[in-house]
Amino acid sequence: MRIFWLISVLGAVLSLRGVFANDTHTNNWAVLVCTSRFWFNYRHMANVLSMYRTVKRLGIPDSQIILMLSDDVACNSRNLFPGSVFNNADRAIDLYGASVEVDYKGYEVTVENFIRLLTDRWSKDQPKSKRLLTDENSNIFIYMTGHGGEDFLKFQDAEEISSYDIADAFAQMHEKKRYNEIFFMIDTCQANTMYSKFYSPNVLAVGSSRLDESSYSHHSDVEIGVAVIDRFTYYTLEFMESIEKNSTLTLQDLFDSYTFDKVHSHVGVRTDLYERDPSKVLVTDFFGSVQNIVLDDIDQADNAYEDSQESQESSDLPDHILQLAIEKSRDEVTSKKNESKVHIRKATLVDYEDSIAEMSKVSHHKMLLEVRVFLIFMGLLIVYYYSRKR
Amino acid sequence: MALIEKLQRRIIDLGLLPRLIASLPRLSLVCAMVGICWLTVFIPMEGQYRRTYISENALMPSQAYSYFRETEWNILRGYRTQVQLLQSVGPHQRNEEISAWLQEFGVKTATFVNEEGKETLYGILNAPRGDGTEAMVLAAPWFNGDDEANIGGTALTISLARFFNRWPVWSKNIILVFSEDANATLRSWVEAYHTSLDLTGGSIESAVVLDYPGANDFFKYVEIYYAGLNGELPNLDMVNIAVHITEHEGMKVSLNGIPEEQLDQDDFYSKLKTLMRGVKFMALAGARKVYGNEAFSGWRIQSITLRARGEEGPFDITTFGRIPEAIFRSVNNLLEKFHQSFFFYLLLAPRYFVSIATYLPAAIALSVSFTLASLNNLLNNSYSSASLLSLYNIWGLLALSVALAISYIIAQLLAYAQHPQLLVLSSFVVSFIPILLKNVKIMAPFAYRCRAFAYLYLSIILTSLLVVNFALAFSIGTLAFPMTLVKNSVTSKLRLKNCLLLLLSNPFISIWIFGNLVDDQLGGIQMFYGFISAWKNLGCWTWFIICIGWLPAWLLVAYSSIATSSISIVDESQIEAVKHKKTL
Repeated sequence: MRIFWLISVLGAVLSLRGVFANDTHTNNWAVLVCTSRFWFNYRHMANVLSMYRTVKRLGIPDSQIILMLSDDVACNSRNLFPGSVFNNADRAIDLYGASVEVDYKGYEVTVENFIRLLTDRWSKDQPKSKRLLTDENSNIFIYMTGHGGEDFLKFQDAEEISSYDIADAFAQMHEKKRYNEIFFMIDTCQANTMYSKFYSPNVLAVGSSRLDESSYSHHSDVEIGVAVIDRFTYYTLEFMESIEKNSTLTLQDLFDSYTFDKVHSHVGVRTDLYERDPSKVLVTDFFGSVQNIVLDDIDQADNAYEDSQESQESSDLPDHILQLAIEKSRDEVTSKKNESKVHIRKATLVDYEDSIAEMSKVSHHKMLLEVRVFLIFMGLLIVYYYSRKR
Repeated sequence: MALIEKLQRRIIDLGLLPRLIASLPRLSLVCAMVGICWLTVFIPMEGQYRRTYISENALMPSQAYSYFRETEWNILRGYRTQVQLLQSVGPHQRNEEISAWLQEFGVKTATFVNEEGKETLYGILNAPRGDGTEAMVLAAPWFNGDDEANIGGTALTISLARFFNRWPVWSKNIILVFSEDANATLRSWVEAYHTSLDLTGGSIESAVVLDYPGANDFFKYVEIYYAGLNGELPNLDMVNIAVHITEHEGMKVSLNGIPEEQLDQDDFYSKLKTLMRGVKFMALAGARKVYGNEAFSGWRIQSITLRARGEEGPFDITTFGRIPEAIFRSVNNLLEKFHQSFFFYLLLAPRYFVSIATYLPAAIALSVSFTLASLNNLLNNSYSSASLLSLYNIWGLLALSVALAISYIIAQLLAYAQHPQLLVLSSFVVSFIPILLKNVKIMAPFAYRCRAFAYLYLSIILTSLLVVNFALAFSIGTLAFPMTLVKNSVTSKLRLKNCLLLLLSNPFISIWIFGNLVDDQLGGIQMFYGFISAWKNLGCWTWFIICIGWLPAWLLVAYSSIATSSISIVDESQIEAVKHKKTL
């Protein structure tokens, strides 16, 4: 009973957040791929581990990150800092120090495995931890780095994946309802050619350099003796460091942050397959784990009212008050948004403080905020009262 | 087909073939000139050479900061003082002492005594985290090529080993070699390492020989030597990283010991000089002064010698030490053997090179010129119609075999009884055959065939040599070229001319003159000892190729220059024709 109450209160309160999160995904996945081998490609390993750290920091759990790492530079005998990988000469963050779950390592990183992963065509004994268990509500962030050329990306030292392969894999994923939206990011030479062949809907892509252009490394560590990070990834990370779970920055902000002066190549963005406007898409829609919940078509609030009518006689009063409050709040929201009907409500697991803090940023919602705070208190009070009574 | 037919008709109409045959001597001369000019005029011209580049991505020279600096200086000084004290001690005792120092910081040591009884101390610093299948060699001969005590080099090697020991980054073992000299002793150790030694550290990828004579702290610039034996060169990447690192540390690079005052020049003549110096070093490798890197030839080891020059200068000995340090860290990054860059190249400056495709035409043209000379002697006389199996051909081949046998015996004899004076003297005498044997006469067709075979034989030798040992092929081709101008000694004027040509193209006299002209180290008949000892001790084939390749051809030509008596030979086909007519 108590849980029921809590959820309904939460649902009511957080539906207000719908102002921003008007997407429909319920889970976030990340596929991070480093395709090149060898010690001198240290920076590619560092690139991908930096991305891994970022998406993990923003809340995507290890179970939803597929990390493909084609070489183990941390344990390379040439590494002056055994067991560590750094993405900056200041060596402030050890990318390998914290728990890192590498799903595909060394020679497991192949074109075949990558395609199988995307399309989920595996034999029966493929462990779940090494599968991309996405559905039609999944937002997938795919990051690739390595050595590439026009329409290809080298895997290991032996094979290549072509832009057509990835495009076809995405098409299959779309047919099999394996994603809601894909954000494809690639850091390699002539990277923009890699997304040029995509044709599936809801795919947003960004690449580090255009045709006949090289992508460059950012700087070297004079102790380790290798370049530690690529420019495009470096400035992506620089932007991402300003992102918290409740950030309101959008992907357009990210794209705007890339300049030729910084990256030394022309960063390309492909939006024609993507329905939404990147300036309305939160960075956290792909990098974070904003886990929305999809409810069924029956109006949850009405249902709750009915349920309470049926099961409880003694608690009519608090029920009624809450119901009123919910209705009132919903009216306000709909009037503001001019939305005709709200079928699906979102309940994020972001804690109260976060959502409050976030709401306070939006000035014209100040009134609403007060109502919300009031409602929360009321709800809590009722819950408390109810539980005491039992 | 019609086109070819038409072409053929046209050629016949114009009489091209007879004209071509008539101009064979001129063509041969033109080919030789083209060959020589290709290397000396064409290649050093702007636009023909390329800038060097590091081809192997893994090497990353100078990406890691070099730490062999002032803090190591005191350690180095300490070792150097001790090494100086060891100068008066015998080799065995000295090696024991150094061995004890090395063992102090965990180097496994052993000594190798070669057949001559000379000792080589070597030690292995095992890579703490590597798989131990590959190794890099740091060598310091006790006496360098100039017979100077390599005090700085030895002390530097020991202190570098101590320094390397503190780094956990090695993926390849480090082998330290302290041989008695840079010549046969080091060579015998390299051979023993690959055949009989018990303490080994995997396949050797690279070798750096340190040559820092004297006990001075400061020096001016660095010389890099890279020419190996038998035309073998280290991979261009190895030379490139050495040049890159040395210049990165601020020092000037002198290739093959180019004098200091010429280091800043960057014009046509400086490039030509550097180029020809490289060719000379390659052609005379082994016979000249040996620097140490030659010892590693033939085992797929990329080796160079670093030599500090100048007693005073802006750089201290630790700066010199940073070159091997950075080279070792660079080579340590390798995942495969050196294979990415060129193995056949000529350098025109530390940062300019030409690859085999660009310079090879020079030797090819020379080789072709000998073939044309051979054709000339076959076709351009009244005996050209003699059949293939005619007596003259068989005699010519027989003469070639005899010349080969004589040459082989001379080569072997010289190796055991070393009397090069006798050789030069007898060569001198034999060169005057046309005048000395005035009354002896040989048949004219025989003389022509002998020359044809001689030039053809030399051409084959040059062709098979020109890829493997370009410098030697080019040098032999150039020096032996006067041989092709020899004609039948009909008049006394021609006789004298032939004598001079034979004198010039005689292998021994010619290299003796050449050696004395171009190389101050090879004065007198010193170079013959050098060639022979290189053949015996270092496995250098130059002497053998001169004796077996060049000498037989010269002997045949010399023989053919004896006065001839022209005879009229009847062409068999003509006889047939006559017979045919008669029957008609």
